[in-house]
Amino acid sequence: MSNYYIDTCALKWRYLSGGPTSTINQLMDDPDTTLLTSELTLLEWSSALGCVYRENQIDYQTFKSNELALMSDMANDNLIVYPMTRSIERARYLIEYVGIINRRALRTGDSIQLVTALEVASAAHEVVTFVTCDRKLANIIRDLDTFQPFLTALLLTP
Amino acid sequence: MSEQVLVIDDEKDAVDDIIFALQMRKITCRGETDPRAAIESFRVSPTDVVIVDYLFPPSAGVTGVNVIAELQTIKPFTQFMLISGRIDRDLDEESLTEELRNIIKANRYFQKPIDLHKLIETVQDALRSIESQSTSWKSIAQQYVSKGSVTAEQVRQLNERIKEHLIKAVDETREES
Repeated sequence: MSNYYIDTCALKWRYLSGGPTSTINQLMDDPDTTLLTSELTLLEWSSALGCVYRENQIDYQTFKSNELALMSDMANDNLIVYPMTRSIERARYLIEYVGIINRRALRTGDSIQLVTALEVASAAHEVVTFVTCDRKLANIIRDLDTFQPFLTALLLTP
Repeated sequence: MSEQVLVIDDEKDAVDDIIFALQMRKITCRGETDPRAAIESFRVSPTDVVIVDYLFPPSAGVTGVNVIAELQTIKPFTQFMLISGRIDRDLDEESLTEELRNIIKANRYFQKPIDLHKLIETVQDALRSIESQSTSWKSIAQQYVSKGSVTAEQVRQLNERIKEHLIKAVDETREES
């Protein structure tokens, strides 16, 4: 069983057509793969949909359909949401280590995603592949010792 | 922070009594006497439990059934409790929605005058149940899709027209966090 963790910028391609879509579909459909994400991802996706709704690009029904598609994937075990328990507290340490000591740009949401992926790896006692479309984030995982050997990065390009 | 319980009854005294009893048990709550205002209030700040009267004055234009149906679309996994003047008179078989049948089956309806002790116990049980579910996103998702699901392929088609907007919105959401 392989464990993958997907962040919001990659997960969006499950619900949009583009380069990463087939890879994400394969990860979701493969019975030997567990695909996890953070509660933050749910919030960020809803927030992004809310943004396009306010721009009058989608109607309320489309907003709800998108929400339901995500919930369908969760209900069918295509995507498992890992609960945030002490993620915020631990993310603060990551901000200091990555952002201050190593002077790498790490946003609030990035730090929560990384910490949650580390928690998944710790709970599973296995290496977790972090699936993202964010090159900077993938490079941080590859470059900094703190993520080894727990996380590897899989960068998907749109 | 959102309250745990919303009480909706056109009789202000009834709302005040229930709120007082809930607050005595340190359960956070708020009340509304206008069902339409309650729906708007729930939209802004949903609660885990809603206690709703079955019958409102005709001027309100809704019943407790309508209120529950509306609130369910806003937050599907809300726990509802129904209060009524006379259950056997108010609830005819034809008016029973699936949610109402579930409420009755789970003994989450209360006839006026309300046994506040029993009501509080039921609220506490509901809150405990919600707390135990909160770590299980799968159970929440299952409740969302219990009345129909949408596939990823279907929303990909829906989203094709607004793809660029959505990509930008995801980036901006991360930037703002």
